[in-house]
Amino acid sequence: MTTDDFVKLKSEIAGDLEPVKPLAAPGVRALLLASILLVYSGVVLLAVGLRPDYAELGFWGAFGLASLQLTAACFLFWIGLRSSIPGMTGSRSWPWAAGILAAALFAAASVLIHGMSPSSPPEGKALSSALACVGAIAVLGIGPLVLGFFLAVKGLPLQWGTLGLTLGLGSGLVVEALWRLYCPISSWDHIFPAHAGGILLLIAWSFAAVWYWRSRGVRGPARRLWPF
Amino acid sequence: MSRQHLIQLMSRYQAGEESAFEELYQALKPPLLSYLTTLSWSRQRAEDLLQETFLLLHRSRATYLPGRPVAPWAFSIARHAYLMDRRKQLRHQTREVASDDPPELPIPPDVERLGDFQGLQKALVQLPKKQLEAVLLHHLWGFSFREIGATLGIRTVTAKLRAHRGLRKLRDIMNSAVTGTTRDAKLKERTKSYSTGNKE
Repeated sequence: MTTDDFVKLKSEIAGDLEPVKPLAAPGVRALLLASILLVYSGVVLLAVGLRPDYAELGFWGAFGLASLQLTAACFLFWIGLRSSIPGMTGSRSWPWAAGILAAALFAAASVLIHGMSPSSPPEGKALSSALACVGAIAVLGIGPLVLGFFLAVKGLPLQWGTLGLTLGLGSGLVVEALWRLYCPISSWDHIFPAHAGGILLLIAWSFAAVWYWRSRGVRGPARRLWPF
Repeated sequence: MSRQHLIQLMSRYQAGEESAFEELYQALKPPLLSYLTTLSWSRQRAEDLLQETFLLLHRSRATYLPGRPVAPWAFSIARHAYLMDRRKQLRHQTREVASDDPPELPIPPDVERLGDFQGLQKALVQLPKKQLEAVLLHHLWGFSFREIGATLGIRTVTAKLRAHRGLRKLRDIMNSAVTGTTRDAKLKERTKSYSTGNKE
């Protein structure tokens, strides 16, 4: 780099040297995201109401398992937000390991709930129930996904695959946990195509959002999208 | 420049001080240029990428978390600039043909005792790129293995293995070069004494 290059660099930077507030640590931002999602979940639950067989599950069966899923989602968000801080990115195997654990948690929760309160879709309504749940999870998941994405692009995403997977899966887990507090059907032939299908759709949307953002050739963090 | 001084510079830079940027530039330019040369295998390309790196560094200055080491943050951004450029070249299929002469690579102080400058240059060029990167980050720029992992997006143990294997391979290359040189010298000596013996 010659002296001319340095002078040119300096002049470019001099016009844009206002003080910046450093981003909060990824853990703090993940907790903030989790708090917002908790409120969001509360509002949705107030609107749709609890599942009719709540008494059979009990508080721990219903909210306990949902909390575990929310915790797993926070951990995924933390990995994703961390991958947007240069010098703090983790190994690329982390999100996959976390994803496998999250999937195992989802499966275990499904088994437990089915054991406590087995139920199947109404006669002749298997498809419509499945589509309703896929749609609900996918639509409700857009809010958490967008919020997580905005937080991530305020940093400098360095591992786009990690970001896509963690945001999509994290949003999916949050919303699926919330939706399971409403949806009374616990049979495998509903949970896996419908609820897991909704999560997979959110993961696909997350990757699409990441691909779109990257294809815009954005150089550097997004500005003025969010105050934190 | 000490780590603590760099941290203080970053705080001033984030507060909007232009002089802090200049000092930071002077401190980070040499190692970043060497690093980019190692990645891109071209001094010219590295100089172009250095400009891009500092621009990206400037735009991303809010991503630096106060109190944390500055070098892993800066090197991550440099690596990102290099990868973005490589992706762009692949997309437009305008990959520059690397010159036949490899660039001059920096030599870590720990390995200087293994041989002379030319020999070490030849040896470093033969290392697999991932191992070379780990060796230089640890032995030249003083990154811990954890910091190498965070910079490259790999596990700490992987960073350790790459550096260890790189150094071992470097020693093997230098040892075989020395053995080869000693063998040649002995052969010359034997040939000379044989021809002298014949004359007598």
